[in-house]
Amino acid sequence: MSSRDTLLATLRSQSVPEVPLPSLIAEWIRYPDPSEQFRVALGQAAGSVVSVGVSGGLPQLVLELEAVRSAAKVCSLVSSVAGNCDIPAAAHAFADVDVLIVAAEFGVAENGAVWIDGAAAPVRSALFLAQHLVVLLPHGEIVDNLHQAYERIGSRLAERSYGCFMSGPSKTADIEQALVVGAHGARSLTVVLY
Amino acid sequence: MSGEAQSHASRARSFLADRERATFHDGALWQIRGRRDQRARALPEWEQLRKLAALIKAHTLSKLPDYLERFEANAHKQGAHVHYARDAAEHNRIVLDLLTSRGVTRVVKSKSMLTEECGLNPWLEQHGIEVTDTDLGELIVQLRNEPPSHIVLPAIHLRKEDVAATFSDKLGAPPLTDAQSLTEFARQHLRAKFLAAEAGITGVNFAIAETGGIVVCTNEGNADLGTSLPGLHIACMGMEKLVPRAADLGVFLRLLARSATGQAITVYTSHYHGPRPGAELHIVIVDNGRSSIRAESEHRSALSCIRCGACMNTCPVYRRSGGHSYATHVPGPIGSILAPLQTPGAHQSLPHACTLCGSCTAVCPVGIDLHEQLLILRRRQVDGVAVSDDVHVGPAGSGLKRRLGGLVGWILASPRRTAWLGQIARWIGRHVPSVMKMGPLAAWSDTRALPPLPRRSFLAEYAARRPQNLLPAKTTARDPVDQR
Repeated sequence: MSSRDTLLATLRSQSVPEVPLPSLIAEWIRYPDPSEQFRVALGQAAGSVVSVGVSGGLPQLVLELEAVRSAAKVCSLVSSVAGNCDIPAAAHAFADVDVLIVAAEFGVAENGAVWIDGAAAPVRSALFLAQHLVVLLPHGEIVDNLHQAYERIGSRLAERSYGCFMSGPSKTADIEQALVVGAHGARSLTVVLY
Repeated sequence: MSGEAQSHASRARSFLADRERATFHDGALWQIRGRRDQRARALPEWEQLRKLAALIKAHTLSKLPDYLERFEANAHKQGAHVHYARDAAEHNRIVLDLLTSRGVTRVVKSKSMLTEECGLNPWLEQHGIEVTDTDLGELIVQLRNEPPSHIVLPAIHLRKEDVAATFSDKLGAPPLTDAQSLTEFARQHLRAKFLAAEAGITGVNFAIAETGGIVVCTNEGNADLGTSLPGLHIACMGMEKLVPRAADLGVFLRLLARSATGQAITVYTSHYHGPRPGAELHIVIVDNGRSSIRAESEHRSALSCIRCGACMNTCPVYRRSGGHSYATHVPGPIGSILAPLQTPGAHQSLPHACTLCGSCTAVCPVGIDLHEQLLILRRRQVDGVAVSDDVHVGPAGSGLKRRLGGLVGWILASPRRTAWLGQIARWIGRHVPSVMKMGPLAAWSDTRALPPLPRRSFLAEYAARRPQNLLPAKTTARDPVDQR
């Protein structure tokens, strides 16, 4: 018998009383101002939020960001904001990208995470090799909690080979519990609400 | 000696020899426990989440074979390959075969307690494969040829000077003195490793039965770099990592990082459904003793563990003895349950590395009754299910503790004998207190200050102060030493 069949047979031979699967429907936390809570939570995760006024000006605002102004190579995966280089096709070719501009589908107020659908970054390594991330998020696209987030993603989760909740820049506290931002991935993460 | 070369207590002694370091360790973990508390209090539904998590895991474990089959079928549909391993050796063989058959010689690995459990790194290295642990803490302990001492904070037992010395010795780093520059050095070193890797190995935090997907959580982004550059991703998981529905992740991810480090969520929570275009994804599902834990109703819930480390951070014994004193891949309260169950007869001192304070049970996000299970394991040892001798009393020999227990029971059964024992103990305590530090008593008295002992027993004192009371006069008459 294969290991698979042996294991499944062993498990089936055990008498384990069935426990019912609980419902997840409940009164989960809501915030009076989800955008403000999102800003606070992302701040705690060492990320930051900037906001474009109603009148527009998104590309201008992105160009004025500190990370972008000091960057040599800015790569944009979003059609509405231009970078200054072509989008590489190979995974390793993002190694020298200073700033990556990418679109998030929505944010989560309780933890400051943004949901990045794999389709927004066809070459996945871009999200982690770029030194800085600028994440574009439409105003109002912020859910209160993670339960709503999964409800919103729904069946699309299984239709993409990749999807990621990202909450702030890469960080570590592995040396003496001292927080250091910029472990392997992005050194900064700025969410631009537009 | 009960399947252990040394007991937890004797290993802890060497950790405690460096007082300053031990104090730092204790304080750092307690601080994390405090951050966990703040996060828990900020969510009104915290206790509801814990209950739900326990129920979802209990349900999944009760129907585990069904969910394994469902997960496997769905993962196949997603284009992933699923392998099963009965034990550590089979797991290691599967991984090695996948690597050698593709000519892979350079592997980057993100944190996986399972691969620690299986001893994957040394096995691959024996076969000529370069394995680089890419979690910063794991890299540090790998370079030092040590196991991780904590499941979330692998290098919490070290100080920054240790890290600087390690980077300088092993990687030729310049003299560095702060966490920031040490981390930056590791970033540069590991970038090159990521870009050169031919395969990435990760653990699995959650596997979703209904979609065939896996979820990996990190703060550094190392798992993501390790899986988005090379053409081969091998994900290794214990079979208990399953959850039925994607929506269940809402419950577990809200608990995991808050319990682990006091973050609301980890920086990266990556959901993989099948391989990257043009790449391969292999998922290795491992038993290695888990099925026998599932068979035991008293211990089944130990398989609900999501490896947050909260029980370690809060444990007064773990904080003051360090992860290495447990000599097992998962230390602390949960490890003290899993290790003796996974390897019957071994790790017998671990259930005794516990004060039964119950703090672990109070913080466990999935409601495991940790301290109750540790007590059950101790009781089993006494009942002979797995007999151990070398517990607190050191190498005193077989059954000493039980014989002492019998003697004490015989004495305490009689008021007369109890009074005599009291007299003798008080006399020794006053006149030759060093006796209390001899032989098997030393294990108890070494780390405790002996209080000044009174001249008289409580009963004698009571009788002396209330001469007209109801106590029969003979009680004091039996206390000749105290009649002076």
